[in-house]
Amino acid sequence: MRCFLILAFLAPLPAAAQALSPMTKEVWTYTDRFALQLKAYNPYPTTQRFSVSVRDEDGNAFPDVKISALSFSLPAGETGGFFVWGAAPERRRVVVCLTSQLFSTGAGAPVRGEVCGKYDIVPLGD
Amino acid sequence: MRRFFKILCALAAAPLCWGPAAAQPSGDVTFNGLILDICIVSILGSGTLAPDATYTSLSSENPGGARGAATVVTTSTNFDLTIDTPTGFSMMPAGGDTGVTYDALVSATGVTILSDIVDGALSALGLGLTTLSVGATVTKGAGIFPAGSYQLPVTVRCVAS
Repeated sequence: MRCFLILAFLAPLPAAAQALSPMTKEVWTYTDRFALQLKAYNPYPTTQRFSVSVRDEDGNAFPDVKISALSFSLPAGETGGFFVWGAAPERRRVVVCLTSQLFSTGAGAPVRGEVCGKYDIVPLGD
Repeated sequence: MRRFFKILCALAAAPLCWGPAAAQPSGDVTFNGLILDICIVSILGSGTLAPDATYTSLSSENPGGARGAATVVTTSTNFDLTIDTPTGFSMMPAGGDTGVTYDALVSATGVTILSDIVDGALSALGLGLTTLSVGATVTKGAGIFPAGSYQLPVTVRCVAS
């Protein structure tokens, strides 16, 4: 009985998937600010929920950055755009990650998918 | 003035008179194409955590456990795969996470071949479809896992290199 209780069962879950475009880009800016327009794509036949996070190259939270949509849903096969903007007083690399919703409908070890693009912000005159 | 119009009309009509024989001997038809540099991660199924005989390990690698499944599709070789060290249970009974350590590993088949790569390591992804099996283990340093339901999220990441 104890064994039964402690087992975490595999639950049939909807597939979660995501893609981000573009995945790499060099962005030039005339000021000490930058803005990125990115597209998230849901290639699967079910609506998916995604969250967006921005980090530096070492995986730390990127300072002084804003995201137009921290979390959003995309219908099957649809593409949705979002913006990331912030300060870039000097050349820096921004890592934007799109993470699929975790389906927490049951116990076990659910796998969460994440795609991360890398974007080099280049202030002109740098 | 009249002569000017005659010349203008002659020039305007000239291409019509030249006909096909006067056309360029060859021409280019342009084809444009675009391959987006993209990586698609698809989660196919969750894994199952099972206890070992001593109830000090909860793992997909124990008898009764199963790995999670995912696929990654890439359109270039500019991507790396990494699996995060799990940060903790998202569901557990009281005391379930006391004194535990988390580990994850991933194997791959398809255009990328990987065998039990541990969390935190970057692995280059091949071009095309890669199928992943994702394992997770939680080890209790002292005591045993209490009975109850456990859920341990594991993140698989495709990163532009």
